[in-house]
Amino acid sequence: MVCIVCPRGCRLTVSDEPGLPVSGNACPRGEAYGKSEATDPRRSVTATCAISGLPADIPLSFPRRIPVRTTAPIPKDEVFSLVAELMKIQKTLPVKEGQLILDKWKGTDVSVVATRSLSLPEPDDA
Amino acid sequence: MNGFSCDAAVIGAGAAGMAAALSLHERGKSVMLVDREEAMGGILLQCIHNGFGLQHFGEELTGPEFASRFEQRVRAAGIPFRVGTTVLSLERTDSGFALGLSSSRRGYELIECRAVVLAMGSRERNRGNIRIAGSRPAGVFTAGLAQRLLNIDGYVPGKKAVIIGSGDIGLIMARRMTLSGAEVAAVVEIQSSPSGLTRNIAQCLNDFDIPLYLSHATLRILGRDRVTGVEIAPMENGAVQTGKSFVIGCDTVLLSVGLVPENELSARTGVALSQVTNGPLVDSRLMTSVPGVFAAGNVLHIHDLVDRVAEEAIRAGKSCADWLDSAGDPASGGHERGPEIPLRAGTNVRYAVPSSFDPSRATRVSLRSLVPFERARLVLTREGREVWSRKLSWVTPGEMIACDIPAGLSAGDAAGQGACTVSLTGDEGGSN
Repeated sequence: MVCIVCPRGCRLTVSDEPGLPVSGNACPRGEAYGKSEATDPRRSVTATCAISGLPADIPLSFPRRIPVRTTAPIPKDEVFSLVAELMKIQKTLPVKEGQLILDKWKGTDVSVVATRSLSLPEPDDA
Repeated sequence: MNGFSCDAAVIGAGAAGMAAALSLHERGKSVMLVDREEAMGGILLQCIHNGFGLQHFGEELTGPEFASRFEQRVRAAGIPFRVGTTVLSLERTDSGFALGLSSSRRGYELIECRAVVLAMGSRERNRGNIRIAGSRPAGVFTAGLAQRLLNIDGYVPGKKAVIIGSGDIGLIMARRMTLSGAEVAAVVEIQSSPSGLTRNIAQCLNDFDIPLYLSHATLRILGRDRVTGVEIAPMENGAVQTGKSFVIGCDTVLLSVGLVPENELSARTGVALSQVTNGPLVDSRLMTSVPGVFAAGNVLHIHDLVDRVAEEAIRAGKSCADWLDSAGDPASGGHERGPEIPLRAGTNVRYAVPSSFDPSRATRVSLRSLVPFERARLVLTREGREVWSRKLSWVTPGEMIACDIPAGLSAGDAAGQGACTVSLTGDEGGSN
């Protein structure tokens, strides 16, 4: 498997012997990733949420989406269901970077937070 | 008309521009940072995925978070900036440079400055650049435009997409389109290896079972009003096998076929550009052929990692500050510099930046290989003699190589004016 922790992309081999020894990794994070990927594959998720209540005269260039991310990786087979839930969320401005979007998803320790601060432009924003 | 003056103007407030402005400010220089978009951050703002910042900040950030770290520092430092403002002209004057600025808020403004840092980033190559035949239906987008439509403007550009080219933006968009409810029918790459990072093949294609067609050329885009499909054919021994062509149905085509540094403004000012990268030719200070004009980031050459962009821009800012310190007072001493030795791309090297260096100082060189190597040796030669080398592993054309040539290489060889050549060769390493 290919390690996805950093851009180096080490080619890992995880043995099925006891303790799941990992080889091919250049750093300890690769070993942790290899073990996790072999037993409980997880992914960080990024997505966007809708913004509601924008004034009708807002410029076309103003963002219509708030970018968000999970605070930790979630099980790989639950990625689509989380994204589907995020698609239904609408936030009003202002939104602050780090603001909670979804608290403790499905009772886990993983939450979803905004990754960008965004507020409506001032009437005379010069 | 309003006008003002500063030590240095920085054109573009993406990762490169913000980093360069901060490093100039830390050296006590007055700076003006200008960007045509409504917010600082550049392309990072639409790169909502994570994986940024591991080198620079030691943690994994999304694009907007990486941009925000720099923006907060720019604002905390009180560096003057203009957003929503286009630089119309960059001209040389007796005392330095004059920049003509245009914005809907302030109208026309003139900046007078002694130095300029170019940080305008790059543009995407498009259908015309790679000459794909066929009709001209709606539904053909560059991958970065589709990324902006999806992540900022909130439009999914289609229901079923084929991605042409395997650059990182295309791979990231394959995942984003899939998560947004669209189907990605295929990623088509003419080369025999992907041009994006290996980890993006793993986490963007393999995670979603998206087929990757390596060594396949795109023959035509089909469709009248809207795209209906693309016709592709395998490459065998460097030749397109048109007899083996087949059609993949889709309503959308995303092109991820590379980036080109955006240098219209630089070229009009007389900055000499590389025929290979389309970026300015720079010396080891990252100064272009126009004294006082520096360049960093994707405007100079295309980077894979924003961390490297920031690192390069910090160096450009420091060099620019050094130049400002010495240029005004040639007698100041301490900054005397001899002529630099030209640095050329040799065997298996597509390009190397900078295009000259001062052997008495350590020099960071960025280069790209033309071919993949499992193990390689990077060799610096001068007049046929090897003067320095370094071992590398897992070299691919898609990943930039950064190396530091140590100071004092040919100190005893001051008489020689010959160029240095940087080459890559396969390294058996005695174990194969």
